[in-house]
Amino acid sequence: MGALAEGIDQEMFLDPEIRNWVLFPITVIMVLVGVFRHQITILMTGDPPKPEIKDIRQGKALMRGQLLAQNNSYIPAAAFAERKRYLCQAYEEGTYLKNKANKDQGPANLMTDPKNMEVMMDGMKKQMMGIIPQTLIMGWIQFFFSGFILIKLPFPLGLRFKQMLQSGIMTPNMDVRWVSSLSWYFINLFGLRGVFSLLLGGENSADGIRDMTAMGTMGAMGQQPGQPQDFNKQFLGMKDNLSIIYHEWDLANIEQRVLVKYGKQNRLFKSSAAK
Amino acid sequence: MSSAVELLSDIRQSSERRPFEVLKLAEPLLNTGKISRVDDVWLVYEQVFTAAIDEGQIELAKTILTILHKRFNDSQRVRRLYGMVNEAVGHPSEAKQLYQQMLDADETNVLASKRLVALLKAEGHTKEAISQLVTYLDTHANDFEAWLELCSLYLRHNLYPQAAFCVEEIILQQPANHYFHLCYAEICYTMGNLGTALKEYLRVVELSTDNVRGFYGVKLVADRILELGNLSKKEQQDAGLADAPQPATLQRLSQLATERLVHAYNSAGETSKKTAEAWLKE
Amino acid sequence: MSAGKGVAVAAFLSILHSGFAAREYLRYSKSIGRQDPALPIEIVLECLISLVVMTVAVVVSVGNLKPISYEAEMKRYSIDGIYSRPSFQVFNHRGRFLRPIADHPAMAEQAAKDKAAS
Repeated sequence: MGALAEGIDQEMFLDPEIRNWVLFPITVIMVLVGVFRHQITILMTGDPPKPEIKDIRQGKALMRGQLLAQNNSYIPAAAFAERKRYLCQAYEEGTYLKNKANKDQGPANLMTDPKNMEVMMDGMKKQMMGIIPQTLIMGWIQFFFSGFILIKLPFPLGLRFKQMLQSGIMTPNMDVRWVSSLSWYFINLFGLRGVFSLLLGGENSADGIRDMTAMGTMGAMGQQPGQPQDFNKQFLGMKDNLSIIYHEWDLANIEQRVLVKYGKQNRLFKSSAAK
Repeated sequence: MSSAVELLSDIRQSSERRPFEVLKLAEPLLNTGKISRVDDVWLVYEQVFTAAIDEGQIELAKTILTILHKRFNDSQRVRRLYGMVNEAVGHPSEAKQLYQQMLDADETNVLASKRLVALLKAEGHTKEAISQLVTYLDTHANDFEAWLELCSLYLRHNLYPQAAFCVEEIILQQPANHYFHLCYAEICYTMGNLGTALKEYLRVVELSTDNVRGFYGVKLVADRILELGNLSKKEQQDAGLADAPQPATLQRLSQLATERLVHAYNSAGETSKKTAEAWLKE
Repeated sequence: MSAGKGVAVAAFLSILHSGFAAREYLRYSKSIGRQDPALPIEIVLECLISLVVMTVAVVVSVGNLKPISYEAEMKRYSIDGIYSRPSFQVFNHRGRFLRPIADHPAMAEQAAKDKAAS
């Protein structure tokens, strides 16, 4: 195997059959499985639940507050003050809440709401569809394609990666750049996202990385998919946002701006004397 | 052939109401059957349908309706077209029944709610139309078309402060669209709120270079404020002139407006140019 | 514009050629036993220069760029369109009796009378 002293690049010749029968097939299989997964997910997920009119009203009331906070400088001060007063009062009293009666109780328990069961089941089905093919492919690769080197990475790595990337091979001195087929699987996992977004459009369910993050958060007790937002809290938060806004009308110095725009004046005067 | 399709698509995009041209453009497509090869064939059908009932070609409208119904059996969008035909031939009660049915089936149906308001408007019951529209807007507060409609309904009754409120809502949603600032400026000027009117006209002119209507507004309002310069403080505040610019600035704005208007009319026909110059010289 | 596109294609082929040449060179040096050879400067230069040329040619040959200012966008809309409120249009107006004039029976009679009189 040539000199194995440190610093000299190891040269090894790989059987081209390996390239033909391992490298390309793994990629092709992963692409096909991804597309297949995407189509199955589309078939399995039902229609999203139709929003009720009270939900719409709630959501749009919140959006109205957001718009006011965002664009308040484009309307005169009186108009802004009027709206601020009205919206703050409405948010405080909960006029726009779905069920005003029990607004202090917090969000409804997901389990008891039968409509939400469907949404949750859909979410769990999606997660299953993500995890199962991944596990299967990894097992398949371990079974068939372990015990030999597949590719050489173009960049050097530290020794700690040796265990992960050269998993089946017991050679203490081989350069970490030579890796096994499992690492080719991982490279494909990250790299095929671009290919999938070309083939399947932006929002596709063939993304391996999203499944990995989903697997990570399933352990931690994070936000469940489709948990209803607590609108009362959001309304109160928006009310606080609105009450601290300092209104500055964008059109305060519009006269100067227009004169400058049409070349009648060379710069903006800051002093109020030259209004 | 493709240019006709493009023109139809442009008219759809701009949402202008030009039924005569739409029918003229679509006639060859429909007669030769080439319409089935158009990309947006169903949108074109809908467009031609609306143009047909505008122009009184009810038979054509009904034919299109059967085609659409065959393709989109279950669609709410097609159902309301039946209501629109009834409106056009003068059967408002049938139309109202249909829309009410659609709403009973699905409370959130936006198309049916809007058509009910349009029905009330068509029959002249503007007060009921206003109250129904207000209920609609209580839920769908971000529908700028509905706010615009409410504004126009208020204007019919000369309720200027309420109309101004509606336009302010629209401006909050689309602050960079100069058409809405124009609408707001004109309402403010009509109300007598000269200070805001001037600033809004200036905003129109800032957003849209050499906007003729905007510059007319600037000139008119600036001249008016100059005329009113000798009023008492209370009267000035009533006219929204508490923060009015100095007379020097007003003069410059008025001169700028005159200049830009003359420039704009330079490229117009001779008669309009002469009329404009005569008016502007005063 | 086709000249620009031609140049872009040629530059792209040149990039491919430099990649191929690099591979061939590496295979050759492997086979004669030399370890870790540096790529000859010609291949590197060919790759970089053709990359720059291709980028410039693609940008130049793409044709007229549309303006992105908001004002230019707004010029596409007319005031009639913005104020039109299509969902609220009413249809019980006189339009169906005004046009087409020729089709209306009363108008057709009148037109025939006028023609006879003239």
